[in-house]
Amino acid sequence: MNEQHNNFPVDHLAARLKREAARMAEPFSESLHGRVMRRVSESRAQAAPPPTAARWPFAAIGLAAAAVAVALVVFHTQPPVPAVPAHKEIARADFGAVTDLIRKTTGPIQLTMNVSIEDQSFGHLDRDVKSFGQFVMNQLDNLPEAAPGTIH
Amino acid sequence: MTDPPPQDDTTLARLALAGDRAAFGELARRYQSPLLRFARRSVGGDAEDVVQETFVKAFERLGQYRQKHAFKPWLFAIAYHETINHLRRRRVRTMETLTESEIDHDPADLAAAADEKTSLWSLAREILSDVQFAAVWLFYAEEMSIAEIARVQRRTSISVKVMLHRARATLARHLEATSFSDFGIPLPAGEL
Repeated sequence: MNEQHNNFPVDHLAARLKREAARMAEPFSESLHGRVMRRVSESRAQAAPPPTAARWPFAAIGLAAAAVAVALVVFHTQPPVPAVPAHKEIARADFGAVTDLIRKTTGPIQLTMNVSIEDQSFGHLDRDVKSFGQFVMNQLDNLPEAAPGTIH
Repeated sequence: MTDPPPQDDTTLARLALAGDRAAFGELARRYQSPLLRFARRSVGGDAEDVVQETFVKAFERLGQYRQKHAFKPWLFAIAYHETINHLRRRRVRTMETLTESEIDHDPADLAAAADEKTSLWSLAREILSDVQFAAVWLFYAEEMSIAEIARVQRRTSISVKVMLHRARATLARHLEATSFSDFGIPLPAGEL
């Protein structure tokens, strides 16, 4: 290790750290060992499951397999849906209900449409024409007020 | 009649998991001193409590030990996390209960500090973060590989390498900037 930080060679630092660490040996403590073993006797080693990282793929595969199994069971236990014949004739009674409904709704719809069309038919052009005519008349000085061309 | 050859850690761990208390006792004997030394440098006076807790947790979690890896880094990983948690709890307690004057003028602390002055490891403990200190300790004192330290600290090998590099740089800068006599370390001019 020939790294150097500023002017301090790291191999010297490493040697000193190792030397000092070697001088720090802790003597074996019987009392501590006794305490540890007492605590261990009170405790029980647990056969732990594998770590989460190793467990999740199995869990995912298990869930997927369970979902497929449930889907298959449901598919096989459902009663078959009766197929509709392609050219089934519609009963006459069905027509009656439809024509009644049309008859009942046609009147109000038609009325509403007519009113709406009437309102919008001239786009208020009739009123504008009437105003313009009145303006022209007012410009004619000699015309008597009660002349036949007066527009009301 | 000769003694049977000592069993390796993995075999002892397997026996302990199967319920052999004596096997676990042997592991505890083997690793008590290294763990105590690490804990002493990390947490000081509460080292024995940390070591005891480490062994109890190791016993309870023997089922999680993967035998393809060495036992020592696995055990130190438990000890490492115990020390980190212990230091966090202690800092919270200190902030909550001790006044500034109690911290500064406790004669026992002052005496201990004076004794520790000469140690480079004490300087390391003082200026490095908990995580950096542990990495440096495991590398130099326990002579673990980068990969083993990465396993202990749950980091990548690259991250451990970078951390060690920074820790060494910090230590070296500090040693250079400080008068060595302040630490009671004679400056070996020839070596430096």
